[in-house]
Amino acid sequence: MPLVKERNRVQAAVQYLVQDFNEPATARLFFRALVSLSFFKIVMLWSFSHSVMHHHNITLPRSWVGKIVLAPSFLANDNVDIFFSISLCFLVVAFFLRPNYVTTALFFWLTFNLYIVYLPFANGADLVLFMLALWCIPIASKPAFKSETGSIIQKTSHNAGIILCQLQVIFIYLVSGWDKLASNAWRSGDAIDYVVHLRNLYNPIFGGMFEDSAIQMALSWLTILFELAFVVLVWFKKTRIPILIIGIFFHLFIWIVMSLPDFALTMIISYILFLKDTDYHRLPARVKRLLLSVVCCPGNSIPGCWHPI
Amino acid sequence: MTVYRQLVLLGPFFAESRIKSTRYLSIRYKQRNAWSSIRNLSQEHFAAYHASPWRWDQLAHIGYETDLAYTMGTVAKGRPFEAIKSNSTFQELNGFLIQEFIPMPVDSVQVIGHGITYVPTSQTFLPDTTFVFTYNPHAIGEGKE
Repeated sequence: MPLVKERNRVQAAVQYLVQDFNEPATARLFFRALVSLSFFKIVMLWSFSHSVMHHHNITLPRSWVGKIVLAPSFLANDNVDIFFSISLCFLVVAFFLRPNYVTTALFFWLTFNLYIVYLPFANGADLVLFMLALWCIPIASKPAFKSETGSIIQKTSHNAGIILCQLQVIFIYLVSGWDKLASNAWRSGDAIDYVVHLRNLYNPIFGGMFEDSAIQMALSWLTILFELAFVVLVWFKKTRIPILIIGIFFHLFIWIVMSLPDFALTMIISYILFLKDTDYHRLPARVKRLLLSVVCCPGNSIPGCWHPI
Repeated sequence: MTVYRQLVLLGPFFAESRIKSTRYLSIRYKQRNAWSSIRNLSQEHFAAYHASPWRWDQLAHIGYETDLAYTMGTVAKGRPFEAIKSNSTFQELNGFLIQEFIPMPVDSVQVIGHGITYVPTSQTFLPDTTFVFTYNPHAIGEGKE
């Protein structure tokens, strides 16, 4: 009997991976959100990158593979304005097209090179962005393979891509939560004391608000508990949406209090992949219309393009 | 294995070692035989960001200056200025300062690398000067060759 149960579980898992493209609309929304974030960051950092690249030199690798992979970075090294102009044009095209293997692969290539160009002033957000972009490659579902085997492989890679993206986010919380749990400063609440005294990070508007050691201890443990709880609770039907909402507030708090807007935004965008297409039905009508215009081809509201409607 | 550790297992973010201390740069320059007041660059950008929170480039400024302060702190450790002035990071720093902060013409520039560590038990800061260079900016390269 236990053997039959086990076999059914394995069959269900295999069916989940191979039967259909899971959450196609959510996957498209996720990809477009990443593309939009990259576009926004280039616009915001163009002028400063121009100043930095005037003096900063990117060293050319010796291998041909390295030269090809980093070719856009070397274009940026020579002329960052041309690099950013081409990047923005590509991102506009990638946003309007349905995610396909060419655009997702090029998008990963671009985000990797953006990371290299931003390296002198990069933060964790740039690293997270290009790793999420990597797992977007298999998520693409176009062009559709015609053969049955090809179609199964394509569906499996799409579904595996979503799982890999989710695991990437889970590992971020697991590694950070575990490290904090092992740290004396985090367990005692001193870590929050350190953070509120980081003069180039802590928002002065909140000066004095988190100085009390009891509040620091509470914030410290709430952070540890949230990071470790997310790893587990996001997989269960009843706790998935509540933990994602808590996570959004957690990252908005980091954005405002600790002056880390891009990290917060990247992490909030990563939550999209934990949503299901059916969650769409729970949204207010206005938000539905907005999402429809983002996920479907803009200007062309195809009925039923958000599956299943 | 290293690639796996660095890329797949991203983080940990806000690790204890990263939040205990920070680095920053300050500068002053000599014009018509008078030194300007000392400018704390990161503090200026931090204030500018909080005045206009959509200006993410101000945070990138802080990131870049912190990176330069860290790298120069390592490069300069126990070495005389003569050994430093041909260093590519120092020339990059010099070029960046000339372009962004120093109103030309100036006679000299003084750039100071600071480290600051907070001590929760005494609620005090432990300041550390990691380098002090006073030099003629025209006699130094401006990076990127």
